[in-house]
Amino acid sequence: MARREPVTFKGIRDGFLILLSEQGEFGEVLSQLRGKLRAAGDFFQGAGAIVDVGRRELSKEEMTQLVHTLQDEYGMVLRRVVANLPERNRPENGEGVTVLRQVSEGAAPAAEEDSAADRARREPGGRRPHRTEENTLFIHRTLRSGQRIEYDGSVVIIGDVNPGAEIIASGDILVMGTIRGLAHAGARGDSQAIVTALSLAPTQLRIATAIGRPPDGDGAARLRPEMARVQDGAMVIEAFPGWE
Amino acid sequence: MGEVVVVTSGKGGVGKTTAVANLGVGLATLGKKKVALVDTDIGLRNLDVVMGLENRIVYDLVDVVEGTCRLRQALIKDKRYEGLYLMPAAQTRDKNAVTPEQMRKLCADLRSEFDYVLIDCPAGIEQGFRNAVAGAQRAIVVTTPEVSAVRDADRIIGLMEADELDDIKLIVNRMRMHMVKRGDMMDLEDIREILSVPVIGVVPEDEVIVVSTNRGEPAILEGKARASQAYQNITRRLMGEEVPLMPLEARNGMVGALRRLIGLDKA
Repeated sequence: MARREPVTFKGIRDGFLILLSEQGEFGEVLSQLRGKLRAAGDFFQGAGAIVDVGRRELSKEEMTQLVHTLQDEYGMVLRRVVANLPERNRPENGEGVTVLRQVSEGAAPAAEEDSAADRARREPGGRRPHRTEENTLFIHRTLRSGQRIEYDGSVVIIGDVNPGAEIIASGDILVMGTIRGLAHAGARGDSQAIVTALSLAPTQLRIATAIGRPPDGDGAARLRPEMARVQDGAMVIEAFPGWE
Repeated sequence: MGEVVVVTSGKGGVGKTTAVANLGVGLATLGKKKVALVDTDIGLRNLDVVMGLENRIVYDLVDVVEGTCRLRQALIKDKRYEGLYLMPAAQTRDKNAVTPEQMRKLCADLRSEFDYVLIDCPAGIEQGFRNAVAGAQRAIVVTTPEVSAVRDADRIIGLMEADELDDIKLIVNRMRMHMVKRGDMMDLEDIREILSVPVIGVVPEDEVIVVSTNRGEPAILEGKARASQAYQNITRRLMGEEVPLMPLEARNGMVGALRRLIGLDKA
């Protein structure tokens, strides 16, 4: 759906959703945005913002300008920038929204990021580098419905992950119990990340941008340690090595 | 000093109000306790109807916290059972008419006069729930053997644990044993496995409950009805007695006996 207004503000639960037109020069849209923010005085100071750029694909520079305008010039708390990507780039969950840049809410698949660590992982040989310097979060309880853990590093849960609970980690996820909810490992794009649990019966598993769910009608949890990883772009679940 | 017990569920329609009414009557009669029932479902009050006390309401919970009346004036003495009182919710206001702070004060006042204060919590996880749990030391979570009810129970158990309300027990309500046997309904073990809180009782689906709810007379004292017996047992467990689960609640046959023997199930 084409947007006629170059810039539209919508109130959402914790701030504003800013819709930017997909048409025209981005510089023009940005200056329209600046104009609106300027006209409002300090009204937007400290308010949360989610920016939807529609189908426009932002360059790195344009992204930087956008973040700078909202955060530094007008003091908004930019939560994320999202896009309605065209069909070919859509993630499998069909929501059609991809988080391009997660500013203040932690991890999400970050299409734009290309850190030294990511580059190192793609180097020839394909061997996974040691991750000893990464942080690991230990949680000594069961995650119940509605509880969400987001962590930049790996997460170990001593307990279960119940349906309706979510773990999102940029590294690996290890659950000493049953996963019945959602686990997203490698949430910043590391497709080498793994999810392992004593029993895997998740609502959904995600590793980097791959999404897997159990086949319909497969309700029963198998009580054996399993490991999920991504192989050739697809999610593979196998018995934990040594427990076949 | 009495105890404040909140009865909650997350999901609506699982039997919170029925449980409060029956346990209230149970504690007052079987336990000879002084009991106050507090309806915190402001705007959608029901407990007064289930207790058959609707036509006696003059003041309500909102009047008390706003200082329109004294605590005593809003407490309706039950017409049948000695020691049982009801504080009704306001019907013409909403959940925001009360704050958790005011509820803590109210519960503290009631505790000093009653042995048990049972709080009937509204469905949901918003302000009404926050108010209901604010002054409680113990919680009873009511669920039914349905995936959605168990999911919501899990959610509110998580919220209460985060609030450091850790004494949480579970009632599994409206269990239909013939459906469980056919494998068409979640059984007790499935529910225990997900929620991992102690089960204080299992109440079978029973028409007696429907009839009694409509009549405004809690069913707990209805002789031989299985749901009534279940509520009597829960009452005694609530008072700290060790009462084994009824045969219909536990697993039957060889498997059950074996599980109890090796300690997987409670005897």
